Amino acid sequence: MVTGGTEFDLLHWIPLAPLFAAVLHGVLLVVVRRTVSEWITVAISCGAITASFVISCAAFARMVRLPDESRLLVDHLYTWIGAGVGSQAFSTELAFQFDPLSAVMTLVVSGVGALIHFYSWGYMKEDEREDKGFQRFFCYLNLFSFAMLLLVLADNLVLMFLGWEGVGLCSYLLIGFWYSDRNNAYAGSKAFIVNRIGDLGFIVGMLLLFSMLAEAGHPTVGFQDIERYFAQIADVELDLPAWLPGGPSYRAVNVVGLCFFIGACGKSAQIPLHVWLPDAMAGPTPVSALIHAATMVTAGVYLVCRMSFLYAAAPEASAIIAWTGALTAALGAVLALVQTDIKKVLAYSTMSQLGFMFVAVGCGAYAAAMFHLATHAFMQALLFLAAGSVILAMQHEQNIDAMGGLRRRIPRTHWTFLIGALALSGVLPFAGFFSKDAILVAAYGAEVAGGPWLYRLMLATAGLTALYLFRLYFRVFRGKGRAPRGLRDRMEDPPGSMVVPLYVLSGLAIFAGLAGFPQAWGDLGWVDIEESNSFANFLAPVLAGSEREGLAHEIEYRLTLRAVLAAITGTGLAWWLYLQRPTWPEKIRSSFHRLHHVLVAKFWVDEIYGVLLVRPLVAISDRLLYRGIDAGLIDGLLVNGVARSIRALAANGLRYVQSGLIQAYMFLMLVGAVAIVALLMR
Amino acid sequence: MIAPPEISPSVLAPIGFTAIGAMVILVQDALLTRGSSLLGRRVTPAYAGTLNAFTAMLFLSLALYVTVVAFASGDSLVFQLANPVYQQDRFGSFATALLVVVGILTCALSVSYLSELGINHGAYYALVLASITGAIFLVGAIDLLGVYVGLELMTIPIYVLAGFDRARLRSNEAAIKYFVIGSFATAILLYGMALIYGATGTTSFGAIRDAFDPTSPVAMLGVGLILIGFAFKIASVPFHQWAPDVYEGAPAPITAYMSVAVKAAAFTALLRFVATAIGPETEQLSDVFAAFAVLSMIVGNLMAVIQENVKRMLAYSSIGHAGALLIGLVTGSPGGYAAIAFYLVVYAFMNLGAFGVVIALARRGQECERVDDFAGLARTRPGLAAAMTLFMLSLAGIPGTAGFMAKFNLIVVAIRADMIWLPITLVVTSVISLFYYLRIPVLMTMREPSEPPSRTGIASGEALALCLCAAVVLFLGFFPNHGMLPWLGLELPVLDWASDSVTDLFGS
Repeated sequence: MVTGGTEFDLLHWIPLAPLFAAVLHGVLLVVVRRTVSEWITVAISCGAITASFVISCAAFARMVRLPDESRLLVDHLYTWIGAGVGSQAFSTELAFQFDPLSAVMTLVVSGVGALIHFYSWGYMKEDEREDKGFQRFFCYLNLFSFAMLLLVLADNLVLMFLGWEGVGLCSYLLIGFWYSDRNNAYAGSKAFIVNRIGDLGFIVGMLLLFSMLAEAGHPTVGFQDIERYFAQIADVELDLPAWLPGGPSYRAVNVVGLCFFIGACGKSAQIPLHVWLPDAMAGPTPVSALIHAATMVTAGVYLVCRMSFLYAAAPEASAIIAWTGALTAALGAVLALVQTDIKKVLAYSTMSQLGFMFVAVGCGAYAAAMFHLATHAFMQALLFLAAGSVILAMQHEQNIDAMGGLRRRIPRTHWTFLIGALALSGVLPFAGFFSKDAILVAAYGAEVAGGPWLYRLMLATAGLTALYLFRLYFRVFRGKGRAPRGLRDRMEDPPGSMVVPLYVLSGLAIFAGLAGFPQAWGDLGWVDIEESNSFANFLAPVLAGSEREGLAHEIEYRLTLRAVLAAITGTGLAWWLYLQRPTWPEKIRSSFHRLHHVLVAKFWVDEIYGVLLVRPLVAISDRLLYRGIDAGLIDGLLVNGVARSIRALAANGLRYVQSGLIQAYMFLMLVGAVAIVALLMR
Repeated sequence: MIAPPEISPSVLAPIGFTAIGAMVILVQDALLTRGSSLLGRRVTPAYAGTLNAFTAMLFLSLALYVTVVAFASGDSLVFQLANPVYQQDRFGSFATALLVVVGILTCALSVSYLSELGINHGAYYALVLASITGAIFLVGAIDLLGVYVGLELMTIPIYVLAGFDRARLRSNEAAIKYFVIGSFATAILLYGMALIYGATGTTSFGAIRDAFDPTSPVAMLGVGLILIGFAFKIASVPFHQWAPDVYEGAPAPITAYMSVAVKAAAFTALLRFVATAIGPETEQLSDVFAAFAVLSMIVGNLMAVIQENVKRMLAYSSIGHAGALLIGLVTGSPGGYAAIAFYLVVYAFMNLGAFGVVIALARRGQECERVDDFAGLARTRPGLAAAMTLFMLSLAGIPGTAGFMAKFNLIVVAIRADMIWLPITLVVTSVISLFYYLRIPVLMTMREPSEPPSRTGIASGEALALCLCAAVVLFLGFFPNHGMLPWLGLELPVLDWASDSVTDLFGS
């Protein structure tokens, strides 16, 4: 835990710079009636996010000069909410904090964000077709950057929640950006609704945590304070309904931890809330790269790491997280194998990699999760942006069956994509190797139920990762060209503003792994052992459980060897199947056509949710509440029923009973009145 | 012999301004339609209506000024007839200021809407002022009779206003429906008052408090019937069913006024009644309020999901918000009451804003009230679309807006009072509410406009009112109790004002 805190006044400009850009765009969009020139739009947007990145770097430089245990920059703007008086007093600050954890996130978000802003310039150029579409896009993009930076810099849960909701909202605006296609708007709504379910978990977790802290005499939502007083509430028991398994009394930290994890599941597309991510690919490709690969979807991992002190004290919740992550990783990898849409393959790949990160946090290896989060941001963004170049070259064709042999046509894109695929597959010495290895090591040594199987599943998934990525690579860039002749001749690499971000990300995908050599490699003598895993050392002061004993070095070498073998096997299998024996995949598919059908249908999860959740909810409001109670029960049964019986009783007394609505309303009022008086006078 | 009433002019100043304003408008209207030209312009009905609106806003501004002065002084003054019936304290002034601002905004939103419909008559503004007069009297009443008089004075003009668009059948239906059911509710309320009088021998709040016996069935029955009367006014389930029909049928500015001002006045009067006449910590009352709250939140929000008419949707949403507000009453603590007062302010601005957009979109003789009418608005009317999005986000309680702040405040207070299920119900229903609130922004940004809008301009009154509402929604979202404008020397700690004002109820 970090103590103290150094003032750093520029901190609030990191999120505010993109916010001002977004507001400026908004004003221009609403007030200025004609389309603003492209240059002004780009200057405002890219300038703002670059400014954020520069300030982040300055903050980082300031922070690393501080001693390890006091690496915390704060920027307190004002007291946001100050409610209650005396013993009821409670306040929430509008303040930012920049500790090593925030630093990693901020640099990734603003750095990758800036690159993707520049890339979007070229990618969205043709959106001049829709009036002001270009500017609207950059407005949303800046708004997203603001919300995301707010999320990672917030010093309390409420402010973080502001960012949390904000990124959801922007993601939804951007998924539905090309709304003329009805499916895109639908995908946007789906993402939003699934995320709402996750948010419910977040809020309930926040409420429970707050009520426990308030009971202990510390009503607070600030991260530093929660951590300080956490020991006092770590052993609180919570009574829940007895029909829940393992009950009736639970350790409250487990419940709170699971609630926050539900929130994380929604944002980070984990089972069972994973259904929105593949559909979210309907948005423009830079959006997929920024939001659905590099930044927003990792917010769930960040949340769990931010609350690592809580999860370290909640082993049961952690075990659930580890297994959910493992299953999601495996599911994503398997589904990625059968997709034919280039972006969908990458979407499932993202989902699978996020699963890896959750395995790491579930096993208590928070630093490994953050490491993979950072390298994954580079690698996946690179793959998405390269895929975007392919899609542009193919004139918005995304089906990989129509591609093939693009290596010669778009060589720059080809090389960057290859680097991304190698890195994410975990081939030595690319970035993905180091981060994935750290997770596998953590899974091997984890003390969760079914530990050995967790490791085996993750190792197999690592092999599958290489298989589906190189399936994609070989189908798109190697083999026979399947695109129409005319299209193939006109293909070219994208312009400079799009290629430069690809090169920068390629560099990061190659070299970022060097920041986190495995601890065991210190033995080899060519890195200093103290410094060997500098990434984990850097994060150690803010993450719980960093002082844990590592595995014996011999075991670690063996695990590393296995990971390398898995990656090579996957890559080799893809090479053999898709390049050497191109007819075989088809044969395999037809001999397992049932299984293939199940996979293509994504296990019918969407359909199951439709039957189990969506339809009943609509039925409740429509049939039960509206037609049932309001119109049917009250009108039909009670009013008319009573009326009918009265009529039957006094056949001639009441000649005509009007069954208008007013009567029904008054009848309900009377029923309510009787109930309330009964409640009062019991 | 009855002593002559002691009338101190400052106590009745806000009521005086609004009442006199109503009469002045009636006279002015009569004179205007007879004259042929004024200030160099021919007096058309629209011109006369605008002048009437200005007069109304002028008198409301005067009332606002004296209210603010009274609030700042912090004194409690009592207006005495035979008994003390009306008290001007900070709590009353806080609510009065809100009501008067709502009145000003309603008038600003009404002018061009009524002109479009060709019903821009002076009587409209006179009735609005009369209703506000009643509402102000209601929030300051410290006697059951005062409550009754204020309530009726507030409601009867609304019966007329709901049917003000005489040419439209739905407007007439709304008026009749509201009148019949409203009378029914008033009768119940009056019966409750009679029973209280029977049980305690007095109608004055302070004296009732002394003589009240929670075990007496007659007294409890009386309290129950009074609560039902209030529950009707604030549209809480199960006394809510009139609301969607009346909201849908009434002219949009009146719907806006009803959903905001009537709710705020009834809530403040209920708070004062419970706090000073019954005792806020009475356990049976908390149970009833909890039942009202849960039912209203669930039914209001679920029913809103399936509405295709925006006014109806907002009606059910207002039922849901009433449920949320009732949570503060369940706590029975000053914090809970302050949270309600703050919530009422926030709700007033965001709901008026939402209705303001509906009003600004209305075309000649045709309301823009189907949900589909909002399709593609982000392209055709970006400013209005942005404002509507803000109000919807605020109503849904997204952080960064005033709506979040209001709900958050309420939740914190409830948790501090050791409740967990009511705040969780609020959270769950808020999540459900996103489905229908967010539908409008979706349609605005992600659907092609169905037909070109016939009215592209926006009247200056509407624009100003909407800008004010949007500014307040954002301001209170980020600065609920903080002077944002230190460089202007302006401090606007609304949350603190709300907390201060309720101390008057709990102080004695």
